[in-house]
Amino acid sequence: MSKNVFESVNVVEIGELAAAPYCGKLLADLGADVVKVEPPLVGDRARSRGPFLGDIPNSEQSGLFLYANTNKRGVTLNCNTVSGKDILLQLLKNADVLIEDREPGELDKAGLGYETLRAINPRLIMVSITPFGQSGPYKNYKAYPLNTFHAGGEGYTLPGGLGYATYPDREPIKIAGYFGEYVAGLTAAIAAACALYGRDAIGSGQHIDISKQEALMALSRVVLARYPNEDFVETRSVRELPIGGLMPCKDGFAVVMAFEARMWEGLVEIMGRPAWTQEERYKNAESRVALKKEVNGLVIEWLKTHTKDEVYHQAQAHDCAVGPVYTIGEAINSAQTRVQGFMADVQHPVAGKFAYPTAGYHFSQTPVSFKRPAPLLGQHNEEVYSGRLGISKTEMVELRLAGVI
Amino acid sequence: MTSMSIYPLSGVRILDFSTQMACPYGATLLAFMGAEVIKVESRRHLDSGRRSPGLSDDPNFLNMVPRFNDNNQCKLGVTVDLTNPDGRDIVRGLLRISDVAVANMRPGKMDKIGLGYADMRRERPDIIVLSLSSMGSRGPERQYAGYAGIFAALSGLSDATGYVGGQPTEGRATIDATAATTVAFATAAALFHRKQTGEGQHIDLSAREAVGALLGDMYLDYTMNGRNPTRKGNEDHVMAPHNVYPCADKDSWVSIAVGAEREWQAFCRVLGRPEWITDVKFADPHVRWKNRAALDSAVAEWTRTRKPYDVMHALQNAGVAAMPSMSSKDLFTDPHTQSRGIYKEFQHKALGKRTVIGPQWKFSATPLDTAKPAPLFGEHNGLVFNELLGMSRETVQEKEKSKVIY
Repeated sequence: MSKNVFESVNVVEIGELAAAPYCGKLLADLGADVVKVEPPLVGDRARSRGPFLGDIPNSEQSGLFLYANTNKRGVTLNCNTVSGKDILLQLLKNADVLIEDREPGELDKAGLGYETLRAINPRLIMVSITPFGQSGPYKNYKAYPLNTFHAGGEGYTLPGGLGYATYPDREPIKIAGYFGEYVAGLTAAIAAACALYGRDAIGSGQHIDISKQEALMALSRVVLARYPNEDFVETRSVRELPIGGLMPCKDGFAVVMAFEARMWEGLVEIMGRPAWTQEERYKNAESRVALKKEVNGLVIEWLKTHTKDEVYHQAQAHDCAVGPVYTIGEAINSAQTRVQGFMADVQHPVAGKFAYPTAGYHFSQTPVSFKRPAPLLGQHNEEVYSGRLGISKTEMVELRLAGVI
Repeated sequence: MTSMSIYPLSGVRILDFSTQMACPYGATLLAFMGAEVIKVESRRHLDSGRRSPGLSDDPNFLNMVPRFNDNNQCKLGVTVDLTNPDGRDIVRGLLRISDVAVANMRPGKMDKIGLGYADMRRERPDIIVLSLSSMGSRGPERQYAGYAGIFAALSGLSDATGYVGGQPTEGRATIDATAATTVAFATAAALFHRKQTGEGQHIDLSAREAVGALLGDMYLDYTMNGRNPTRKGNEDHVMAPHNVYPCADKDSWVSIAVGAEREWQAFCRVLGRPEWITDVKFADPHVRWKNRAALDSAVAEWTRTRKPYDVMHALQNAGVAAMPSMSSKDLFTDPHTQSRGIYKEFQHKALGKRTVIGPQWKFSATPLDTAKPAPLFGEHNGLVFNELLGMSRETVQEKEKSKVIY
């Protein structure tokens, strides 16, 4: 029997919304023992953000919280109290990883900075995730996911293509949902995994500084490097494919990528070799690109008589990269997603049972599995505080009455 | 690497058989972490990332494509023809001394040429093999071709991104890089597992699913409520103001988001509109959100005569979240990114002085000073074949002549 990847790893997470919790989730879904520390009564802010089951706000039925916190244990703790801080230090004494997203300096002020933690647990890997990192002039700047995304480079160029052509005077936009936050969490999880891998050779834990802005900039590295190297600034007006792109079809939209010769040939084939495609100016790849507007117009004319799934499967059978623009529901219900087993049911004591995305990676020996749903607020207080730290029943009552847990 | 510094993945050797962007860049992320990544390529199955429209396949041109440098930083590069039995022998030798192999050929293709997971395991029983594909290795669409635009469309990301009432939005290289980031995490996790247990494994990674995983809460909206999230531009479902506003210069913009009441009050004061605080149209979060269109135009009136950075400073000084929508120029010239040192500069043997974005992590004990140029085509044949595999110079020359090393 293969063990889970992070089975031996103890993680403490102090994080809210999507970024830090997603980092914790990635480790938890691969077997890490993650204790999520939430402020008493209110909990992680994700609990009060939707989408809610049936649109009824309920701290145990937030889709964001349920998704980002699978496989964790949850405790409530007021870290701003003396006793709360003491309990947290006890938890961290034996932890391998601390994931936190407090504003730079906040934990230091509370006597929980990296230097203090290192003194009690030199093997601790502390992963700090903030909008702009732990240093630099903006380190204490305020940023919601919208601001972080637009500080990352991709936002300025969105939307290109059809969206820009239709609304050339409108504002740049962000990628849907919490994309930038999840990316930061994923980036942080790589760091945690690598630091764990190298910890024995390095001889200690360490403090890892993750800037959400930099996690996003890294994604756009090719476009961003063009400014210092070529003095080229990409804008929405030039953010488009040389040929093809996102186009309307009979029942929605499809993305047509036909810039390579063999792909173009495939497209011509499924269009039934219309006469125009045989004209010299359209046969030549370079002049096709020069006549892009016209070529795209002709392709769209044909596309509009076909559904996105028809075009998808026909084009792919001819080695031409076309993709249907699926709604999330269509993505979930597609045959490919089902056979791959991407969605898996999770039973939650309050929200009930429904399917959650698993992960893009399928490990042959240590697959992702959902052993427990996201924790209820304070669900594991007894288990963690009494069971692991040995806090007595009477003290638990006192701590509860004092608002510490 | 030859450096004596210790990095998190020091001692790990990765063979990179991948092409294009997502998988090669995933391996680069591991190289940033200190792994020795050997890119195995050949003129016979050229990484299209080395090609550029207008440039021929002449080896000199193969070294001239900037994006190849950006995506393949910090690797060693060798040229071996995998379609040649002798070439595969060399690769088998490399496998015996490697920990990880990554590839993004369509499912089954590596197996066909005798370099599938089972074959690789014969050479190195505890090897970790990661196969990245657009769709994953099972299912009816497993052989389909995909680029970022395709898997962004299939995952639902394109449909969910766009103006309210507008069209969906095309995905591109950023989405490839997202799959790459997932490649790096999965590989690092498998390495840790192997260190604990001695067990290698195969990782089948679907780019389409890697993107879907980053839309998790929206996927749950569908499975909980049967609803597809609609395109919302920059809008939030609670906060207002929450948008990107026009500034004085052409195509210059600033993002502003106001959450808590004290932020709203500070915001009104900075704009010189303290009367908004008690205005019945804006006095509480709910009416602000309901009247967000009117509020947005009033805010835009103020931003339109200002520069994004002036708006940012004025609002941030008052504790309100505001950032320019930053272009590549803004980011490079920004005092914060400069102070963070994320841009690295080095000499590339063919391209000259290059500036790249380096590692996106700051480690306190093992600083990742690992940024290096991408390998030239076949640049490290000598180092790898002579020194790592112990092949003689004559053998290497002979294999070059017979286009095995090619």
